[in-house]
Amino acid sequence: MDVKSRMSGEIAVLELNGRFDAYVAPSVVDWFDRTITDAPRIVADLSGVSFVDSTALATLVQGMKRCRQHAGDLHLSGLQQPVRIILELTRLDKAFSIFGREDEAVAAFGH
Amino acid sequence: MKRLRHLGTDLRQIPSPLSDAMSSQRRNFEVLAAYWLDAGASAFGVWDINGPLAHWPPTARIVAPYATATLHISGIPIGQLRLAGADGTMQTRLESDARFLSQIIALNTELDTMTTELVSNQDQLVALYNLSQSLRNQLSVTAVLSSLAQEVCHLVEVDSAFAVLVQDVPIVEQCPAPIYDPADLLALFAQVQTRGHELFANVHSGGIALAPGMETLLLIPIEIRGVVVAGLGLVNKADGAFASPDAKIAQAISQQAGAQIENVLLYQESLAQARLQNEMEVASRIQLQLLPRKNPTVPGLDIFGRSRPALHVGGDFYDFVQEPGQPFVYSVGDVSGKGVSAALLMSMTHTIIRNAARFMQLPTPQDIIERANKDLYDPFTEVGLFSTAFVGQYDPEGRVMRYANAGHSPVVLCPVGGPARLMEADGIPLGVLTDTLGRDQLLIFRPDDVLVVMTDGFSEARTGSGELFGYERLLRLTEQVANGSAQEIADALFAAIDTFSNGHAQDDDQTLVVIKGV
Repeated sequence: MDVKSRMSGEIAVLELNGRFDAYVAPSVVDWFDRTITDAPRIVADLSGVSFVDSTALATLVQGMKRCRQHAGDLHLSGLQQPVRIILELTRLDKAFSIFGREDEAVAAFGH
Repeated sequence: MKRLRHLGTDLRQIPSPLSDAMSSQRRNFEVLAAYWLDAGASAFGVWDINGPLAHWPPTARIVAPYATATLHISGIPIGQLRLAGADGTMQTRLESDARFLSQIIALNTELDTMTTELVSNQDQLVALYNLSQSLRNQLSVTAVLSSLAQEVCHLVEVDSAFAVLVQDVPIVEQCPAPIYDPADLLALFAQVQTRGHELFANVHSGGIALAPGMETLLLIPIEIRGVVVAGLGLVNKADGAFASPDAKIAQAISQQAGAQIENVLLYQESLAQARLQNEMEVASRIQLQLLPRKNPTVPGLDIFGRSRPALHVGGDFYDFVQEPGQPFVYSVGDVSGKGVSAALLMSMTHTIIRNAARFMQLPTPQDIIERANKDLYDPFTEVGLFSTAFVGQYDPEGRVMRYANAGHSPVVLCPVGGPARLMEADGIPLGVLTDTLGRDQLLIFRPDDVLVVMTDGFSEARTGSGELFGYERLLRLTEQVANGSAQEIADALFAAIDTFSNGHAQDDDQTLVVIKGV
């Protein structure tokens, strides 16, 4: 699984690919640790993610909470169907702001 | 290897190859001298570069020789054969003798060198054997490093030696005494780590900044599991600068030590693992105590619950609460993640839901969930986890089943006659936001209706090739087995996922509560 990131203006964009599970979660937690203090407005683009487990969901929830503690937020974009279904079944879709495309998720932060 | 002194090896000092040959080949020289005297010479003598070595007859002194011939080894003059009282024809033959003798002496010298090397190699083997004997009984890394520094001090003529291991807490051992600042030694070792090979340093040649008091240093890297994390340092060689033979023996020693350090680390890890295993088993037993020991008897319901953890301790739980004067309450939950942190929060969640059900004033399931969420929000935020929870409550009067679902799935309802359907959550899990955003739901629960509240260990059970059991199979299976008792339904569901997984290890906890209307 790749963990790539870049800046889109002041918004940090995290790009994940492949399976997002307990094996990958620590490197994502590390990335949040490094990023959130300086750039608490984050888009996690999941368009390349085919599977998430409960540890991955917990990692995203943790990231979202910490962004909000720093007056930012974590937006999700590009959910594949299996990922969308898991978010719907756990009703975490109510907790996150979810967008179809990454540019929409970035734009939703306004300027 | 001249510095292998403790073994008592008396390496022969050779003043000159010619005097050495004279002592080992004296008989042959005598034969040669007798030949020349027979042939008419009045005296025969052998000289090396310092003066005469022997004369025949012994009283003769050949001050002004009639003929001389020079002995050479590799083109370098090492001595002379001298004749007195001989005629002119003897010069050529004397030179021929000198060439022949030169060859014999050269072979003799070569043999000596080979013998010395053989002895030296033997010394090295014995030294390594002694070292491995002294290291093999050490069961702590510090003791191994200390032994290593001590043994090297005995093997090589140096003022002091040190051994370092850089782990979470760096270890520095010095022999004969802690002379140098460990920080200086670690800084030098860091240079070896970067280089990946040994470091020769001399205070006079500059370049490397040595610790105060160091004149010369040889620092050898030691690989543990393929990574340079340890080193052996030799400080201030007795007779000048370190050279490659010193590195050779130090490397051989280091390899031995590296293997032993690896063994010790492995031993310590398995010890730690055994302790952890033991603690996990205790934790697992405590968790089993938390789960209901028997299935409750509730008028109008047949109830069966069971949990099977994937690791020794898991994040799933279920519970039954029966308080006098209060409706029967049951709960099923799943803390995200696996292992000890999930298990600890599972215990908390289980207890908080149980206490809310017991001590709140006539709570509804959603009241219980909101109470638990408020109590658990901070600890879950701290640890970065969350928990799904399903809480149900049954009132026999009117057969009303009230429930609230905080992100929990799968929950399957199979009304009498089917079809089975998934009851989706409307609230978000505990510990995500300060409000779960769910509501109480109502259901009239008739005889032979079946409700199965499972955890995702069922829907996500998979085959070796990764195929998931999935919701569709769970729905169809529940319909097929709905005629049985609550326990028979549970047994059939566990058996079905076991057959499906076909020996593939259980990835996640598998927990269910089956409730059937009677």
